[in-house]
Amino acid sequence: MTNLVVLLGCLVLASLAASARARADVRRGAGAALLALLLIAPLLSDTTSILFDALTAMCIAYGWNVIGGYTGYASFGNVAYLGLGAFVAAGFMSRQPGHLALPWFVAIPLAVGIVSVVALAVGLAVLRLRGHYFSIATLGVAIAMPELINWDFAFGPDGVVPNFFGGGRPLNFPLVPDAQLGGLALGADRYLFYYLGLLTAVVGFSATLLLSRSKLGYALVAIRENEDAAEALGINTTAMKSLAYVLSAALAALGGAVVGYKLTNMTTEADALFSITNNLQMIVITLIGGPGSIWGPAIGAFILFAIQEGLRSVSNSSLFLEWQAAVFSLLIIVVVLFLPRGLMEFLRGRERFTWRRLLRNLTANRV
Amino acid sequence: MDLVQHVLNGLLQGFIFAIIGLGFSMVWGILNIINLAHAAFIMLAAYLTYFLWAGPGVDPFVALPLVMAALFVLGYVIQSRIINLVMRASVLTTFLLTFGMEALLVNVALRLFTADNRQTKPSYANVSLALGDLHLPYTQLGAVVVALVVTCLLYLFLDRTRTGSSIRAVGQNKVAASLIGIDLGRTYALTFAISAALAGAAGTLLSTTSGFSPPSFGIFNILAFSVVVLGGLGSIPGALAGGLVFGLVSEFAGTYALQEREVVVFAVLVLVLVLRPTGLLGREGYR
Amino acid sequence: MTLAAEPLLAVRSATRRFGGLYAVNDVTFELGQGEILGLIGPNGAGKTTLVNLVTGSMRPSGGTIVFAGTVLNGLRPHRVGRLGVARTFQVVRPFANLTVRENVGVGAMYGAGGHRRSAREALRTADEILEFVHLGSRRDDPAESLTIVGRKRLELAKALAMEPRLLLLDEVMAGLRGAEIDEAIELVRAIHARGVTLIVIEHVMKVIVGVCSRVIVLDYGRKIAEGTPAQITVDPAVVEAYLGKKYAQGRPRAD
Repeated sequence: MTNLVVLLGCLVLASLAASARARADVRRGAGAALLALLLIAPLLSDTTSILFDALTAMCIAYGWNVIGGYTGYASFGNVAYLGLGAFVAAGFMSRQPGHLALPWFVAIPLAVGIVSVVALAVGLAVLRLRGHYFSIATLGVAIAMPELINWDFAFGPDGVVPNFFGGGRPLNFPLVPDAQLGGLALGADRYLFYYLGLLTAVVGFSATLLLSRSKLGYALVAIRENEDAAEALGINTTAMKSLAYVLSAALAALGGAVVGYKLTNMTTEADALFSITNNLQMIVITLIGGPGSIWGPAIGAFILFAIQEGLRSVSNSSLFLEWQAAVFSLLIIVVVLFLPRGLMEFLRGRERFTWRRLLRNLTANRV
Repeated sequence: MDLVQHVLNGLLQGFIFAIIGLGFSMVWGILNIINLAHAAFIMLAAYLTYFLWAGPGVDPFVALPLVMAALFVLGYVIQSRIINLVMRASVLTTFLLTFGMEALLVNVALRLFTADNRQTKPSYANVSLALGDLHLPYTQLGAVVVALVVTCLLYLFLDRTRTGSSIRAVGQNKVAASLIGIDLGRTYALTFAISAALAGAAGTLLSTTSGFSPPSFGIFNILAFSVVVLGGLGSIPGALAGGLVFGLVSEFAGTYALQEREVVVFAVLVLVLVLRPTGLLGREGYR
Repeated sequence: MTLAAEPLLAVRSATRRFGGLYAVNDVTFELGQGEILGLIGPNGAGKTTLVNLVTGSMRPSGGTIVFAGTVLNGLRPHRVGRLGVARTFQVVRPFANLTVRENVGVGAMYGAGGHRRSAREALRTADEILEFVHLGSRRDDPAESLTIVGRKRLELAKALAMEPRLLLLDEVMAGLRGAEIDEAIELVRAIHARGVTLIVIEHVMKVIVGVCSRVIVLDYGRKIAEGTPAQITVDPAVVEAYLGKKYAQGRPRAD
């Protein structure tokens, strides 16, 4: 119950911080309050798992937002980098024989770096395509990536980097023990992982904030609006798109690595990481909140997980989890039809939220 | 098994892929929509055929026209009620919509039908026509016959009938077509319905050739896309050629690189997209 | 005709083929610094294609294009833009979801002077340019809210933000009427006064006669005439291209 209250509180604060109609100092205050609320959350609630999920999902959605929202290239393959980030991090951190057992603050950035390089290579191929073609090609990347990890030639027992991803034997992150700070016991799940998750969300948010004010950010929006005109204005569209794609992959990898770290056992969780649910989730979150905006993914994540938590505390059954993917897909359909620009459309100040507006969105693009 | 048998298997399979590509290509060419729900339609058809066979014992090849008709109606309704709403929206919007629909259908199917492997096994299921050392399973031969018949009928329909011509007209220039009195909405719905019917045919045929469960149809979107890109958008012979090529690709990838079949298909696709975006036989309009 | 200094733009035997069709066929001309060159011809003559060849949107099938000593063949449009060549598009499509100011700001960020500027500085530069084209009052409005006249001015402003030495205007007057055309001509003259060399593609002869010192005429991809506005309006080849053989015999007055 506490978690639900926290999520709703975050939602309200985020919406206020994003609202164009509020005064600048009110918005800044809301943003600060939001951060404060998130910092003290573990003190308020016994289990912070759902908050962890929301924050890491937010980081990953921020990644999608860069390539799908700002640049207008809808990638359906970022889940590949999510999973790859987790596996590479696990490969570096595992304490099993043959692995380097690096500490997390080395292994995770390293994993993000490696995934970024992979994304650069992939990007050079897929970014030549536009629209539909690009989206399908990235879908293919999502399908192909799990196979890459199982590729015996590179990662099998006799491979180039033998058993880096386990190679048939289980691959685990090291277990994280509870910690002590003064007299306070800090449970690993409740505190340590939570703050790591919060860190990823802050990284995602900050990166987006910087992007939106930078020349790169403007270039990406220009590419989205009219790629040929952007090129004529002096924008190296290939380079900019590649940067956006790599950044989106990096954030996906960051979120994925931290999620994987908490899951610990990679062999059993592999399917869950590359799942279609994860693929859909980052897209739904961004769409609900508002693609191409600074606060969109945050608002979307808070809403989605508030709904999830609300349903869970009401029905308390595993039914929701089983039907989660189906519900997400329904959500995508609903959002695409009724809220094509996400909720940010209403927060940006030009429209009022009315049911009629939703209906108008529905029929605005008919034949 | 020797090389020729593999080639034969690949070609037999390729005819089904061709039908899949054909349906996908029609919606893409005429409505300019990448219909990711196409794979879901194939899935629904496969399950419908299965339940008709498992329950009342209807032979799949007899059920074929029924399943096609059912999918036709489903496609018509979905297009006219839902997809029509976003016809003038961006590519991303329609893509996401069909993506969402596909995910919804697959996940609901997963809940309702479970992930158990199904397959229709009519009495002649494991019987093959033997030509020397080669085996041609009757189910696959039947699939080839159906594929050829359906393709011919489609070609004749598009080329010789008034409705077919109006569909082609909309594909070439929808503004001009509507100006001369062609009802765009109805044409779109009809085209989508035909595409769904074609998916239905593919689903029925596939239900006999191997075991399936809801997630196993995901590959068909990429496959359909690849077939169309290779063969060229708007070309019926192109879809046929593309289907056969990918039938072979799939067969050889499945044999020599079992795990990585999907990767190989994807790799070939990317290769084609990068080297020859207009495909082997593509041209303007739809023929 | 000879120019004392090296020409700013030298196009030699530029050709662009599409299969068997020659959109631009062996076109040669030079442009000196500070000139205003008119480029006219019937629809489909290859004018926009020629512009595309210069700016890099299309690669020439043959010939060379040299701008201020640099060969433009094979360069991508953004590199050509940064060298100092800007263009407007015939069908004006601004960055709809950006404000007017941001639209122009992008040009200032990435054009010839872009590397010197931060995003904020570029937006300030945009303000100056918006004043120059009389769009200052619409600064913070979304670009899609502008009327056609406003959009044309915005298109000009974006190109100017790139600090071009050479500006190619592709039918900037299309869709404008009467007084709007006169205002646009004034703007073109003001841009020229700032030191920008111009190539103006137009169908509206009033504009060509009004601002251009020299005109070249294309038909079916070939250059069929070159001279002052007065000269080409009575050139029989030009009249024939526009009006057919019958009228070429007479001597229509230049209007």
